[in-house]
Formats: sequence, C-alpha cells, structure tokens
Amino acid sequence: MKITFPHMGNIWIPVKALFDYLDIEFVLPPQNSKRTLSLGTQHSPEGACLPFKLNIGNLIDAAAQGADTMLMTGGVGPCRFGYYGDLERDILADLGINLKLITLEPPDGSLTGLARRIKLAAGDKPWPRIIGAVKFAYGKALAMDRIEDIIHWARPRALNPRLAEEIYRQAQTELDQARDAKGVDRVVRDTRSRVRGLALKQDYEPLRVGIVGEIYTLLDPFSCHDIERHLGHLGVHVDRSIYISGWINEHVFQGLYKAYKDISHHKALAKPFLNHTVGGHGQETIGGAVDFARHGFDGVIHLLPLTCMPEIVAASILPQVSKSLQIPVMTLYVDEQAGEAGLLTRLEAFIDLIDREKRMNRRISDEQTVLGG
Amino acid sequence: MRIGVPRGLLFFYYYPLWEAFFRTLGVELVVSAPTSRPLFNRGVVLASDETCLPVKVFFGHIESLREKQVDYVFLPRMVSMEKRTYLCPKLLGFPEVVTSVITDLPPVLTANFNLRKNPKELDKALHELGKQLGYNARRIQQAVEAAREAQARFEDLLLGGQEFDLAVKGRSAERNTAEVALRIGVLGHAYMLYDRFTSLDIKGKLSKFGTEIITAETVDSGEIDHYMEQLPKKMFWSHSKRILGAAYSFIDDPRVHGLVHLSCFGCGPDSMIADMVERACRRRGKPFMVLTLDEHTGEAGLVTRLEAYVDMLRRRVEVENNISAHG
Repeated sequence: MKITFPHMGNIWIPVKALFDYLDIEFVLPPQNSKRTLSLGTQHSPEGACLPFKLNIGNLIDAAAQGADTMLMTGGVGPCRFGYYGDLERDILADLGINLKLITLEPPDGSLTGLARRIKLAAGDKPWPRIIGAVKFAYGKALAMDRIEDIIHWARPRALNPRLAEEIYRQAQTELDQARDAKGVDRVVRDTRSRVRGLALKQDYEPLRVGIVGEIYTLLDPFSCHDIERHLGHLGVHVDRSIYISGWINEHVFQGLYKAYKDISHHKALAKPFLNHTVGGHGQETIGGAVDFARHGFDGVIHLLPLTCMPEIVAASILPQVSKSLQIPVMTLYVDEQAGEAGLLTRLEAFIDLIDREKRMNRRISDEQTVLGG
Repeated sequence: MRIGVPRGLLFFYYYPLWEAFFRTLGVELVVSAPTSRPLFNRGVVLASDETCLPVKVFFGHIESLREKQVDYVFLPRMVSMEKRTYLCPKLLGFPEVVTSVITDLPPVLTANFNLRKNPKELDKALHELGKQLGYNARRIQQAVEAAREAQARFEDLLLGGQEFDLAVKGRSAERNTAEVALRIGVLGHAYMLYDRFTSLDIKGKLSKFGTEIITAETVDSGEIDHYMEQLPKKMFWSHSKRILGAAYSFIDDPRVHGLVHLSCFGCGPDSMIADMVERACRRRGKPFMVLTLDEHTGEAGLVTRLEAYVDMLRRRVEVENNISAHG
C-alpha cells in the first residue's frame, strides 16, 4: 500500500512526519502549481470550489507516481468538504485511476470506527507507536504554526524582506528533517534567533491586517497567490484566524488537544452578528474579524473560494461587523481564473486606505491633545 | 396581526406547514407576489454578486414585503428537517444575512428548526414561534397538529404527482393519465423548479413539447433511502439526498427516457450531486442534461437546448422500437 494525500499549505510536513515515524510508504504529490490547477480543473465539476480542483490535480499526480490509497479527512456537512473524498474517488475511477479511500473521521460518530480506519492506514503497527507518531506529527504542526507567525513578524520589519523568506524556507526544510521532539523545538528556536539577527527598519510600526476566511485558501499560499507574503513585503504585519494545528485538532482529535492560537472562543464572539453555525468556518470568520477588531488591527481581509457556501454567509454579514466595529474589511474571492496582478493592485489600494485612515485618526487625536481642552 | 412570508426558498418546501400553523393561531399571512421581472431585478441588485440565483430572487421577495404593512417578516432558520442531514449552509445563516443587507425591515420572526438529532424539535420550534406571538401552549399545540397534518397532505399530494401550485393549497385534482411517448425526470431544488419565472418555466416548456415530467417529489422516501444506502458515504444535505435518490431511481426505471438537472450558478450541493448523477447516467447510457441558470440566462437559447434534447430522446425511442428482429 502506498498512501497519498492532497496538499494544503505546509500540512505535508506533519503528515509526512506521521508516515515516516510509522514506516509507511507514501507518495508526496508535487507542490501545488498552475499545472496542478489546470489538471484538476479539467477533470472536476465546473462549479466545484477551488480546493476540490487542486485536490484532484494532486491525486492524479500522486497516482502517476504509484499511489494506490488516498487519505482524507471528512465531515458530515453542511460544507461540501464532507463529500470531497467520495466524489474525488469516483472522478478518478472514471479516469481509470483506482485509489482506495480512507477517510479519517468517526463514521456516524463512532470512535471505534475511527480507530479501525487509523489501523487500516497504519497497518499492523501497535497502538502506542501510532499514538507516538500522532504526537510527534502534531508537534511538528504546532512548530510550523509558530514558525509561520515568526515570519509574519519578520517580513514587514526586515530591511530586506527576502532574507525573511530565506529563513522561512530554511525552517521548512529543517522542520521536515527533524527526527525527534528536541529537533523540532530546535528549529523553532533557531528560526527565532535568525530573525533576531536580521537588520530591521528603524522605528517602524507596521500596519496590522488580520486574514479570516476559508481554511484551505487561508493556509495554502498557492490558492491565494501567497497573499501573506505580498502583504508582508508591502510592510504589513499579518495574522490569520486559523492555523494548521487548530484545524487538525478540530477535524481529527475532536478538540482534544490545545492548538496554536486556539479559536474556540470565536463562535461566541460571532454571536451578535451570526447566531448559528453555518458549516465550515463561516461563524469563526465572523468571530475572527471581531477578535482582530478588538485587538486593534487596522484592517481585515476575508478570503474565500468562489461559491463557498459557509463563507458566502460570512461575506454577506461582514459589512455589518465592519460598520459596527469601525474596521475596514475587504473580501477576496479566488478561483482558477484569478490573476496575481489584479490581486496586488487591490492589496495596495487597501493598504493605502487603511494607512490613510490611521494617519487621519492620529492627526485628529494630536490636534485634540494640543489644541483641544 | 399580519405576518409577511417571502415566496422563495423554503416556501416551496414548507409553506403548507407554516400556513396551517399561523391560520390556526388566527394570524394573517401575507405572501409576496410570484416572482416577476422587477422583483427579480431588485433581488439581483440587493444580494451579493457571488451568491446563488434563488437567494438573489429571495431578496427581491423580502424587499417587496416592506410595502405590505406587515407586523413581522417570517424568516425561520431551518437547520435540519430530517435525521443526520442539513439544509444548505446559506439557509443556516439566513436571518442574519437578510437583516444585515436590508436594514429597515419590519421585525423578523424566527426560530431554529433543528431536527438533526431529534424529530420532536419540530414541535419545540413551532411552540417557540407561537410563544413569541403571545399565544398559550394549548392553542399552539392545536396549531402544531394542524400544521403537521397540512404538511403531510402536501407531501402526499406531491408524491401522487400533483402539480405544485395545487398541492401547496392542499387541493387534489384529476390527473391526465393519457399515455405519453416520452417521460423526463426533471431534477432540481423545489425553489428553482416550481418558481415559474426563475426557472424560465422549464417544466411548462417540456410539457408543451408533449413530454411527461416527473420530479423528485414523486419518489417515495423508502425508495430514496434504498438508493442512499448503497452510497459508501451518507449524503448529508436533505434536499440533495432526495434529488440524488430520485435520479438513481429514474436511471433504473425504463419508463423514464431521460434526465434533466435544473441547477443554478453558485449552488454548492448541486456542483457535487449533478456530477454524481452525470457519472451514473453515463455508466448506464441514460440521456442527461444539466441546465445551469443565472440572472443572465436567455430564454431563446434555453428553448433551443430543450428542443434539441427532446428531439434526441424522441429519436432514441423510435430507433429502439425499430430494431429489426433479424439483426
């Protein structure tokens, strides 16, 4: 058995760690690229969302490299992601690619069913070893989240933001190669000290923008044209509402572990604006925007794939959040047609807008201190 | 007291339930007019560009209720109406979406209907509605029973093949049972299929071509479940479950000559199940056509496609009946 799994940003690092630890043969599909997308778009339903199309591209690539089993997580709705695995398997089967599907979810809520599926993927490995592997992989996911956030800090402040990218790439490679928990910690420490060694802009207080929205587009740089890097290089400090560990925790561990920048309070924050779950992360998107506004962020960007149902609900409600909490919000839809140049223009315009607003507010408060009273 | 009901989305599934409930309570219901060009256009302007067509149309209906002097606008949050299923995510967030887009609406009357775990939640939700309007529990209980009865009758009528417009009023009528040469299974959400304007009256057009139409509502739920059990993973949208089950049943039924899926741009569940139906049809050699409508769809192009499809079906039937016994 050769297992494969679709990409979603850096999630391959913890998943690879899991397979390596358990000595399971697996195929890592080539990173998402324009080629992946056009391959996926060609064989997916036209109205499917962007992540689905990228998944199909990844799986076709992986099958060409010998994969015979695909590992997915699932869900019981109402977001269509819950049905991804099954439809993907059928589409591939019609193309003559027969992949066995293992969905890591408790079927009908049964945990023993989940355990059986884990065993199916892990083969005859004893449980303590499986648990050890899961712990190790989750440790890498947490480390990845920390590293990404360190880079969020470094990009806008570094005199040469390219050096921050180099540190990021180096951290990805080292984290992938880390063999034990100590090694994982060391990568985070090293990344931090490398960033400390960067030449920084003098007295620079960057604008802060929070990114909220659909998980895949948030975590996968290819699907959103690497919006975080663009913003960082425009001198903006970025934070986002969801990190990988949070997603794994929610989908696989059913909220058992503590995730990096835990967002379990976001549902409550969303309440005055959206009082009910709408599937996916629709409610967390609203809660995340509220959270960013309360923490004094200068703006919020909402990312979603075209036709995403939960996020369209959020997109319709966000103007209300923006108005009542006085925070600018920009919504960006992505699909296979989206172009990077257009995105950049919109980002620049948005940054200009929030920067102006910030300076205006500062001037007004200066005036009040000096001339008021 | 007057309560406004928009003629869109869930109206096409649950109006008899609401109507009987409020009528028994002694509340007057004011339903928005059937979809028309001006109402449709208003909806398209108000709603988010990227949302689906029926949601856009719904906004037109809601806005039209503003001038009707109603005390409340009825916007129930129907999360789940059946065990282990959901309705579309857009419907789950609907009360908030509507009130954040149209801010000067009359007060919204709403309650959560979540029968995902427990079918008794239906009574609870209706009681909550009645209580908000200030009725006592006994009176509400009467209304709940009337509502259940009306809804069951409506669903029975649809199951028997009754036209939606009559079934929604609880009326039965003699059906024309003349033998027709072509029978087409028309799939799609009720709020597309039974809204004449939005669907460009596809059902009427197909009938005019001399074909008989059958819809998912005429398939008995036991049969739907039979087909759904064969899926490796349970379908978790209740409307899609019915559409998909009906599609599989039409594919197996030699009296159904072809399938038409009426979908709309931006429909998430349809993007998945229309593909599943298409694959199944292809495997079994059943003619299948998807019509994806949006606010730009022109009627002429649609008629051409329907004509071509019906011609194709007709030729197939003729050829099938004319195969030489001598090989």
